[in-house]
Amino acid sequence: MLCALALPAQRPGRQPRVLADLPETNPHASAADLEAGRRLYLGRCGHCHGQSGEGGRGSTLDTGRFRHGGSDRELFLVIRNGIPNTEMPGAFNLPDLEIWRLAAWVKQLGRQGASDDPITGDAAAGAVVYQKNACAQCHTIDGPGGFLGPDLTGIGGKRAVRHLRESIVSPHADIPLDYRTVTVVTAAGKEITGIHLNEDEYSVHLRDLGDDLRSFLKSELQRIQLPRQSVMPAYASLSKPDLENLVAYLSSGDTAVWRFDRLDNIGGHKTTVLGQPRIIDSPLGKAVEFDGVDDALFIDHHPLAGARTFSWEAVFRPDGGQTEQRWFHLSERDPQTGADTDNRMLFEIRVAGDQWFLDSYNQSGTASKALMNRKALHPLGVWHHVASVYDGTEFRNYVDGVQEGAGQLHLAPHGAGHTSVGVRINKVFYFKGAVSLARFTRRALSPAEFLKPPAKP
Amino acid sequence: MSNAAHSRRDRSSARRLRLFLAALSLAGPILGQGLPITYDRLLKATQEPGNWLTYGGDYRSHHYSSLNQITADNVHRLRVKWIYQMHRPKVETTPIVVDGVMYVTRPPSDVIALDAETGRALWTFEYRLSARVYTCCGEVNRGLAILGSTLYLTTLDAKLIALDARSGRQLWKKDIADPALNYSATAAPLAVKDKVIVGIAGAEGGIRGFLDAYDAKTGERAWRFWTVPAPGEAGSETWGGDSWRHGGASTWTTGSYDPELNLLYWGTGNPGPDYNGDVRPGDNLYSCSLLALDPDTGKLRWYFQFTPHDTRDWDATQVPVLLDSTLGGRRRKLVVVPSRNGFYYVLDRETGEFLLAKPFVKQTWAKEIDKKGRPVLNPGQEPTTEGNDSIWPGVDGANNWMSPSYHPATRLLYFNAREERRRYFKTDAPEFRPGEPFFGGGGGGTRFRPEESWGKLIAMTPETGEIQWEHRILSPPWAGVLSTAGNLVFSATPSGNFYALDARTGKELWRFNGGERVHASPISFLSRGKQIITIAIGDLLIAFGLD
Repeated sequence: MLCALALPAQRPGRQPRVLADLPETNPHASAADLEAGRRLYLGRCGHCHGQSGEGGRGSTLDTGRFRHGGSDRELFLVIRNGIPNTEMPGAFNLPDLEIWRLAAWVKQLGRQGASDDPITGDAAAGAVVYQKNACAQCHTIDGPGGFLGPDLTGIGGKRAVRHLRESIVSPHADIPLDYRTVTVVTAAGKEITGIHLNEDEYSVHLRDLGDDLRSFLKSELQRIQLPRQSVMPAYASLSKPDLENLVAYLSSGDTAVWRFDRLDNIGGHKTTVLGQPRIIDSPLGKAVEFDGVDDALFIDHHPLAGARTFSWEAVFRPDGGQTEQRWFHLSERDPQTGADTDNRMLFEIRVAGDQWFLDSYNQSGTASKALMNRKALHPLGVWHHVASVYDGTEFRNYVDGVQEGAGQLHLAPHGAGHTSVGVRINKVFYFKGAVSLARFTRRALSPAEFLKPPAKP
Repeated sequence: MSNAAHSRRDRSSARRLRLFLAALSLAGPILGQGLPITYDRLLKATQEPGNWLTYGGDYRSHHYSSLNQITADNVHRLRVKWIYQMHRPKVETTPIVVDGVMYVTRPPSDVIALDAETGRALWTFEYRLSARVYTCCGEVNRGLAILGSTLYLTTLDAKLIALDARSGRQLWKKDIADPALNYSATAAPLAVKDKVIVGIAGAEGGIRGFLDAYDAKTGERAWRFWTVPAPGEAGSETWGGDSWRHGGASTWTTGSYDPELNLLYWGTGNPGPDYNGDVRPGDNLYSCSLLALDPDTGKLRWYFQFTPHDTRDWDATQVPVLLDSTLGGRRRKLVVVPSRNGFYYVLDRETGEFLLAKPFVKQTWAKEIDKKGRPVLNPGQEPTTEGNDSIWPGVDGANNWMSPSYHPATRLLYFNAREERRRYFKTDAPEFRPGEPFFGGGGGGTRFRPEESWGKLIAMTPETGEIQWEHRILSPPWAGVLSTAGNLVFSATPSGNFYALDARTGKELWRFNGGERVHASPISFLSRGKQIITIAIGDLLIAFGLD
């Protein structure tokens, strides 16, 4: 009939479905459903997400990590409703059966393991490449930057690694619909190039290379060209390591989660084990327990390197011991010598009888701030959520979702470095207790967005 | 009080009321005095240019107005006269106008009588759908038919409703089909003699299509022509297995009528499932066809299939335009169709004989149309599992449901054409399920360059298919065309620009930015003796007049 499955804007669609009326488990995930889902996927999804889920213009689906949720229900809803402010349309016109089959196949793709295109670069070094090449003149990440190019916040979750690489080296290969180039030539012969914002039969609108909005009547122009080139220069001359580091930086996304469920590898990074920390079972799942004497884990990665804004959350259980304990330390390293600089981020506690209070510390260059509220006492021996949040101007800390302190701070991003858990980076002030989870987000979260704090005892 | 006293008092107040109303009427013209619209008046609709009496303007669907107050010389003075706000998406209505009253439909299935002078509502018939209805393409309605003093409305939930044109009161309501089985109705009916011809929609939901006729007075069904034959009937050999049961071939755009030949011309839609033809081997008659039917009996006189075994959703539900002309030195009664498949067709409307086909857009699927009118196919032009993006025109076609226009003085046919490349993909053949689509694939969903997706208004010599001039527009249009005796052609663009061209040269003379996509056809009529042009732009119905 007319305009079957045409542009989203033309599609009437049904109301977005909500969680409540959906089964939790995919009711159509048999081998036959999977095969049907595979064939549906090829025609509908493969041209953006890759025919094997390897990603492309659309996100990679073969890693098993799904930004918008990997449960059966969540996959169903994402496929059906689409993702606002992205190019992912909703499959409103598909029957539920076909959406479930697609969800089953997408989940299956996730089980297959990532295709052979690993991130080999270093994200922190990539942040420096981003800075050196003035990418922020045209792009934004977490706020600051220019508007000529697309916002790159969380771009790693939206595009495959190979697509990011291609977009840096040959930006014209696949230009996002909202960033096509237009060149107009005025009656006086002046040529103006920019991003095509709107056009009808009589007028054309663009954002010029100086980020200014421009409006032209076609009757006043000699001509309009829609070149196949992106306004972004091709960075084909980047060295291979620089390119891979930049890709790693862009791919790092805005969130990393560290689960303390093993000793040899935390958050995908190899560890060095000191003493004999052990894996324990807790109501929150597995955790690593430290004895407060000589147990610690060193992780060769600074998860917030390059972050202009951030939220650092951890779930832990302090068990008493010495008064002053420095149990989570992110430290910048001098790139030349490998020695720790003074730039650091810390979670500390002070033990007071059978209670404790939080000390959060941030330093970059000459700017530093400690947040400590001696009156905000909490019981030992139970699980707590703590958070350090920096929004670019203010540094705040929280225990169990309740704010304890705040202070103005101008913090430059850290360079690459490493992390210690269970002790300060220079192996003093050991921690007695356990850590189960940490999450690093490259933006300031509100308490409502925090990991759910552990239930009160 | 006695009954007699009661009755006396009633008579006396009725007289007072009549006097009062008569006094009132001096204050303004009485609207709608032109009722009833007899069949004879419908036959001579072109003699009443002040009204717009059928969906296509007349039975030949010329969509032409012989009014000439607004001309190429003064159209620059055209201004908005009023706006009626619908507050509903995708308004596709073509109004009926009778002596200063404009009858319009509003999605999904409402009817409003407007004062054509002021745009103010005189009455509103608000229809509540009886059930949730599966629709592929929006909860749309394209207009009404009028006969006598009755308006005929089809509803999204597949009912036919008769309304009194003076009051908006419902006279009767009949089921056309079961909406739970994905039947819906969106087309304006066509009143012919004492019957109302009614099309059906739902080929994206796995219906079996038909065309119906109902007694205009009682609403009883007079006949039904199944557009997909059942086993044993002529044409059933063109369907494999049980595929005929959900074979589609809907009838969702209003057809035309030739009273001399007593033949009804009606286009049919795509076969189902749309994009996966494997389960329906054969030509799939009478999908993607033009049918010539006897309006008294519903008997098929002839058919012509534009796209046998369609797998690209190329319905032949374009408005068929009836012309009489000389072709090859012989006087002919013609029916012409710029088809969704990208070819312009000329047929003899008496016999269905194929006379001519010519592409009017870029097309990649057919080498040519052979002497019998059958396409000679190019390889590699079918939807594939991974997606085939080499096919022109797109799934929405080179043309669609919007009205073309024929101008008797310029002797040109004007219509909007869609130049488009799209990506077609095929999925497993679906099982029919109530409330769910029945596509077997889809189209769209990739990035095409501006030169792969644009539009144009074509002025064509209908006898030869020769294009005289084109008016290029930015993207593929969804608007119909009106031509007028003022040497003007009106149409609109997806950007919301409503414009007027010189009918002879194609020179643009006037435009108005309505700010939203246009899914409607303009019409013209008189209000208080002055020519008005109206069109729905987005969810607004806008009337234009000279300042």
